[in-house]
Amino acid sequence: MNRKGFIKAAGIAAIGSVIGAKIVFAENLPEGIEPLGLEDSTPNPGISNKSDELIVLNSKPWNAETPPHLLDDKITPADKFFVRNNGQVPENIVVSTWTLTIEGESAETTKTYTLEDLKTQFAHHTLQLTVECGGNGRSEFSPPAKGNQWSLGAVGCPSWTGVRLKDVLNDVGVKSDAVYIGYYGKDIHLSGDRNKVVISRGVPIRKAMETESLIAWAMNGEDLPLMNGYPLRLVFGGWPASTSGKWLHKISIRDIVHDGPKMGGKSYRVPKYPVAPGTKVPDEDMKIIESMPVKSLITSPKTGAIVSGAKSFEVRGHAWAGDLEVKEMHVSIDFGASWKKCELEKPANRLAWQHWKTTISLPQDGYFEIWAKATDSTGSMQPMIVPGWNPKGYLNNATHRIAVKRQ
Amino acid sequence: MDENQLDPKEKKDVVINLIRTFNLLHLMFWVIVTLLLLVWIDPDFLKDEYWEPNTSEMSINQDFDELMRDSVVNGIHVISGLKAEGDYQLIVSYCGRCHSYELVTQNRATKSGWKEMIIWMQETQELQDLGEHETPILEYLATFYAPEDKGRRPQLNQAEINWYELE
Repeated sequence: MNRKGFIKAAGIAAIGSVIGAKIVFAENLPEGIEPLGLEDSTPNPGISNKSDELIVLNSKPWNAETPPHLLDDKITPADKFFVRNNGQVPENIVVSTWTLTIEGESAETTKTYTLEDLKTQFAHHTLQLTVECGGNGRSEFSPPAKGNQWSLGAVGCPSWTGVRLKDVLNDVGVKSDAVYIGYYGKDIHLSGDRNKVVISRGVPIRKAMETESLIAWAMNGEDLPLMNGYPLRLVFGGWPASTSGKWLHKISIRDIVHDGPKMGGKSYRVPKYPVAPGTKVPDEDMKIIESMPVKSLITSPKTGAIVSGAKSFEVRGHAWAGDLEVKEMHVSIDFGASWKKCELEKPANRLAWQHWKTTISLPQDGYFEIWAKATDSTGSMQPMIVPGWNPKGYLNNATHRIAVKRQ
Repeated sequence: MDENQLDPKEKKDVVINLIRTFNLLHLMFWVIVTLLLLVWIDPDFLKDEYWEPNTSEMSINQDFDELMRDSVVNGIHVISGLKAEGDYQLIVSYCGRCHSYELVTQNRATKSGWKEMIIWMQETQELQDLGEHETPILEYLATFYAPEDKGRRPQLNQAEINWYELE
């Protein structure tokens, strides 16, 4: 390879990587044959329309989380709301012909709505709703669980606009034997097989019928970001975000617990009884995660702050508790030996996160950690160590910790 | 003034000439050093063929891809991020076809844990039978991507903290 060829080759390779490669499955792979996946492995340029400070966990499928200090806004901006994909984002979306079909064995009838139908036939509602991935915090579990190794940032609380799922379901008619709803989206299976459903989850009828359960088309007054379900999605505040189906085109009203991909096995399930770390749990002993546990974040200051002397500084963040409300908020600077109560606001609406703040002064020069602990309306608090181990590493709601120094 | 000595103007000329000669020698020194360095780095530099344009585009693309594809820096296979040890090439060949390599490098599991993931992919994600390659693949994963014990809760990672003055 000569030097004159180098620049030319770089250009060709760059074009090649942009065009990419069709995914092809060989029956066998003799050694030495160039894997097609490599052509897609260009250095990742970040996710369009998302802050480039998001921490990208994978590029295929795209998964990225938000560092806590970027979640300081009371309402999470679209470019800072985390990204979670099980498959590939749909292509060639034509909004004017996008439809939502409601059907199923427990639906009185089958109806299909365009986006225009939804917007004109039903009352609009705008709600701030907390959406958190069931696996947020997974990276701390030992032994480790397979899956995206989220740390703290697979959570957000944007403002969502849409219609009540309840209003649409009632328009279709819900039979008295209805048990669950299941959603279907237009994301594309990683294998490229268009006949395979990537993920199809849902919620029990009672959750579907809550006044905060939305079919949404907007985030913070703008169209949903493509990565977060454009043009239409479900939003169920306080439940694992995988219930809030994206790129929504069908809802099935079921007379059984929905059984789409990623409803069964161990997906989004925890053991029915507590287990020791590393235990093999049979599938039939697993139960579906519903309301997320109480949790909180310190969004200011960013971890790593050096404070001069006894200067007082504000510490603030948000707290949430699934279907419940947060009753109290405390922080500790001595590893949980003592706790200081914080000011805590009521949520803007049910299932929105709650803002808290306090003022801290460090008692002497040295290294400190600030730990944040929320208590929900039943009196449940966040644990200080990683809670009950479970095979898939869900529901780590241990106290958030930041490091600070006084000099 | 002594005849053998130079007068001020002649002195000045001599000095100027000396400086010019020195500068020239200095420049020639660096040119020679540079050429020697180039030859040392790439002996082909001296050959005529080095300077011929390479007319085969396919050859350029393949050369470049080969260069990038196999590149290993500090024990890490650059394109995939995998540890360049043992049978890593098998993982490079098989495991980047549907998803990014982070799905491998982020996870840790025992051999049976990795085996379970392979079975799940074969059952639900259209992964093909790995045949005779399955054993070395599992061996690599269980060796280089085995679980690390983090206890009941890891410490804050001090190395990742960027200390700053709080306003």
